[in-house]
Amino acid sequence: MTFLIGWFLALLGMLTLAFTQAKQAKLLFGAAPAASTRWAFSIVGYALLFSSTYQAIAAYGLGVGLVTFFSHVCFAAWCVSLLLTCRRTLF
Amino acid sequence: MSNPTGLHGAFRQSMAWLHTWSGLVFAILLYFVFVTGTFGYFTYEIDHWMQPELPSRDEIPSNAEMAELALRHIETDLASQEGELTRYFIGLPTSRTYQYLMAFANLAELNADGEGFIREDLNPVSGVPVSDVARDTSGGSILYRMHYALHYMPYEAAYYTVGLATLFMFLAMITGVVTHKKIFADFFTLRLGKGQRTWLDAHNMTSVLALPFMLMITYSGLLFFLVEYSPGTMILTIGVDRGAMQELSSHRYPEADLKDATGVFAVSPAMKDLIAYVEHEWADDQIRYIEINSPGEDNSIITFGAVDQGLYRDRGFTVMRFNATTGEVLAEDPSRPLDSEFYQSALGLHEGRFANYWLRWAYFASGLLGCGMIATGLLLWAKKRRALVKTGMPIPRSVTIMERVNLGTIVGLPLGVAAYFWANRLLPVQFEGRAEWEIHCLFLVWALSFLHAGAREIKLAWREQVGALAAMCLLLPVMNALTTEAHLGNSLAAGDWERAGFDLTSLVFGLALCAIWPRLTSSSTVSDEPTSVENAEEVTGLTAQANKAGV
Repeated sequence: MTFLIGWFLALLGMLTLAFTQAKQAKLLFGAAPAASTRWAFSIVGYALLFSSTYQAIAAYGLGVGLVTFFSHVCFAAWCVSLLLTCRRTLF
Repeated sequence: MSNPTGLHGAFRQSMAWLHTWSGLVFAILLYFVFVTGTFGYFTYEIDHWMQPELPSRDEIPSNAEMAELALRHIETDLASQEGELTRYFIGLPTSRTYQYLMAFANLAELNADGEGFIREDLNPVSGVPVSDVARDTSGGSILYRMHYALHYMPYEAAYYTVGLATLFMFLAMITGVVTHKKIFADFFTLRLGKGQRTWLDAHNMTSVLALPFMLMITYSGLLFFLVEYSPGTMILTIGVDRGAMQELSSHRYPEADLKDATGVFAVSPAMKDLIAYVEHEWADDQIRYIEINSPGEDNSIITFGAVDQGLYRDRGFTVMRFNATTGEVLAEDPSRPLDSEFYQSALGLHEGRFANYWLRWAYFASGLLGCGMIATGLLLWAKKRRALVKTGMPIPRSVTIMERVNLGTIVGLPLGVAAYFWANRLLPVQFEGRAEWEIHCLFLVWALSFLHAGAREIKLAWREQVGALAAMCLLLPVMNALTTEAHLGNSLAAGDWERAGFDLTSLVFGLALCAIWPRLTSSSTVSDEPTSVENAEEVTGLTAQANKAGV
């Protein structure tokens, strides 16, 4: 469960960071959000990634925690990419 | 048909050229290394599945019982065969090691075979030698070993070849990052059904999203043979003779003076009391081995080694030593120097032995992404060159050959691995040299897939090989059920997740391949038609983008 919580935080973080890119945000929302909104997304996204890092290190220690965090980010990014791919295919 | 500017064009184009060719030259070998290495993350689980006669984890007795079994075997059977023994080593099955009990001893004198040791693997429940009760197999360990030592060639030649390939891959990755202009803009981008662009996106995604893993795995892979790959450093600093190697070893792994006592005693020096003490100090399932030096003598020392816990690739890093006569706990080893810790951490990261099951699956999936990165790179190279052929022009021979080699590599090798698992179940248990024949089956099927790719029309060949691979994956659990008692139903009922996980993973791979298979009719893995003149401009544009992206 500890592992999954960290991954879920990273997933939310990567999804939020995807909104900061005009191309991806347009795909998800239909129109690119305003610059200020994207800036806010950016802050929230990095905060979520930081939480994921902190959670992994707290649970597994510095070395294994960082490795765990990188795996969270990698597979969270994959999930976001596949979600966007589905959006592209469907719409 | 490489970028005509080669290394002499603009910086990014030069890097693109370097990326293409440094990636391509050793691509097949690197694919082999990644496929076999990826299986290595589940070496022990594969070992377990390939010896269905051995007990599941739930049946394994306590450490004290197993140690007693192994000691009895060493002191009676092995000693009677080989005479005086100077050191005992007992390898215990844990959740992160093999599932048999290893009894190993060093001999006072070389035996008739010229060896200074004797080893026997035992069934941890009965104490009977594994060779008497279980099929002979190379297991998952050989797949892991092949990823750096290859097969059918001398060990030294193999690791130098793999090292050179790894160096090229490292170069390809760095130049790939330099070349990829839109690395962040395209971060989440995979456009399906767009031919060459789809393959470029897939290549970028498999490599960029798993970039930390890819960089780590190649860099740490080079570090494994640091001394062999850069002997100059050794020669110029401490030399290369035996004394120099010992000096390096004692620098990396400093040991405590064994005369230093702590004044802390176990209940008694009896093995069961020492085990109880260590199990109390460490968590359950942590004792990986027990080593007894100079058994029966006054200066005898008993060492307990733990399974790897941190990032360190543990060469007995976490140990507890006892005076075998008094049961007194001996001093701990001093901490290692920083360079040694860095080195061991890099190796630990590569092997991922510290990883829990979640993280192990992440390692496994990252390995698959590595395979995908190489496969998409190979496909893209051939596709790009085929796309440049105009209507009416003959397809260059190099392109058709490469397309067939791609199929033989990308699908043929997994077919070979599937054949390896099938051979484990189909070869008679008493078959002479069956372990080696399992491996021969892998390479025979792989060779056949190249022949098949060369003989058949390429689109049909893709469908047939992917179909065959899907069938082999889906039917493997069925074959397991028909030939052994350790089938999926029994494994699940017994809670033996190592064996059940193998069968389930095989089913998942089979189903995934079934999902891909119908798409291969209109597949973009290869296109037999040369590009129409109308599309030539678009293709040229894409090719230019691919060039810029370095593929």
